[in-house]
Amino acid sequence: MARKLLAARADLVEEISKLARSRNQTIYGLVNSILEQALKVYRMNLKLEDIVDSYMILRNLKNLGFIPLPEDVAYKALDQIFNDDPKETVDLGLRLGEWYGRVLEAQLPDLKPPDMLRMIIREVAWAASEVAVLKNGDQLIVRCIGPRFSRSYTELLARMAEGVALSMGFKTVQRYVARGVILLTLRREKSLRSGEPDRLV
Amino acid sequence: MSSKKPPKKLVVVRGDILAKVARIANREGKTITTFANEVFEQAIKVYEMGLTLPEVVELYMLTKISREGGGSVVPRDIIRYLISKVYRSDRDELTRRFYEAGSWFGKYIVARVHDRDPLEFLERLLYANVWDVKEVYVGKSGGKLSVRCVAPQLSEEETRLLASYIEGLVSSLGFKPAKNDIIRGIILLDFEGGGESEGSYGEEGSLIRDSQE
Repeated sequence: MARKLLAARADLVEEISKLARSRNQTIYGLVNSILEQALKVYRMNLKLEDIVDSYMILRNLKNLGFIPLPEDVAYKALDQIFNDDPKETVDLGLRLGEWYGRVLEAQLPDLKPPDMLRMIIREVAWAASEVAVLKNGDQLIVRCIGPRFSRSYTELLARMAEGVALSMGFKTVQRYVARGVILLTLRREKSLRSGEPDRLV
Repeated sequence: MSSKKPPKKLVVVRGDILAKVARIANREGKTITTFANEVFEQAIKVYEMGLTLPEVVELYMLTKISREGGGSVVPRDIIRYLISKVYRSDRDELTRRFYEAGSWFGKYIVARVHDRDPLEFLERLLYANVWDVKEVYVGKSGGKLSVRCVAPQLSEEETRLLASYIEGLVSSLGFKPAKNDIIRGIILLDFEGGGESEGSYGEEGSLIRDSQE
């Protein structure tokens, strides 16, 4: 098999060679394996960074007590909880979202608010057919569509998204939530601390 | 203001891989070096978490299958609520629902992943799908299949519901439940048979441990 030379940042090559040594692999073998995985991902029209971020968010969700559950079981249970105590249910969503947003912001400080919000909603709402977070000046427009969502699930998810946004300094200024449809307009309320980089930019 | 570029190093790679990388980089409007740097950064992040890139990519793919197969991720409070409201009064019905959900998902896997033996990735699938699991083991020896899950944080009721889900899933792959031993946080299930899948999985089982613990 023909071999060729690839130029890459020296510090990254150093890290890769350290990893190869610690795993008793050759640099050649490890670099090829890494690039092959990246190619596999790109062939599926995905990006490696999306997969890695998605994995990290899912792992965190699991660590924070989120569990996979068959959709119909989850919706039926949630409907009952919602009917019993709608206020407590939506408050739970808001609290979970705010807490989760803070944890994730600390763990993934490089993610900008629109990206973080989009990724969290996407990783929680598996059945969503569309998740979009658009930036409009100092506002974020959140759109999440899930034709199979139950009403209670939609409401909980909307509150969670608002909680995440709150943790990043955004307040809901407009909301439209109906079964399977979430449309939120969020505006940045919290002013940036002196010297804090504007993560929205 | 200095705009000095970071120093570069050369690494040897397979020619065919580099050619493919060049095509993708070109499509993305990047240089091969920029593309490779981005890939290496992500790979280092993954290896620093104690994982490998193939593991993360596979877990992503399995989660994608689960997601497309009617799974959802919900706060743990929901299952606790279900148990508090329904388990004691209608335990059989709830257990049946979980068994059926697992069974449906198993059939979905067979239909969806037709080019691979589901037993090859059952362990990782369970790891991606079950709650708070710290260890998953799937081993096949002769006509017997053993599934073990260790999830110490689960309650007795949660463990039993999860075991029903796994029983449903594995049964739909052509195995018959032979023995089960379920106590709080630990699921030990033995199956017999295996239909078409028999013999296509290695004799030795393997073990997945939560590397984050």
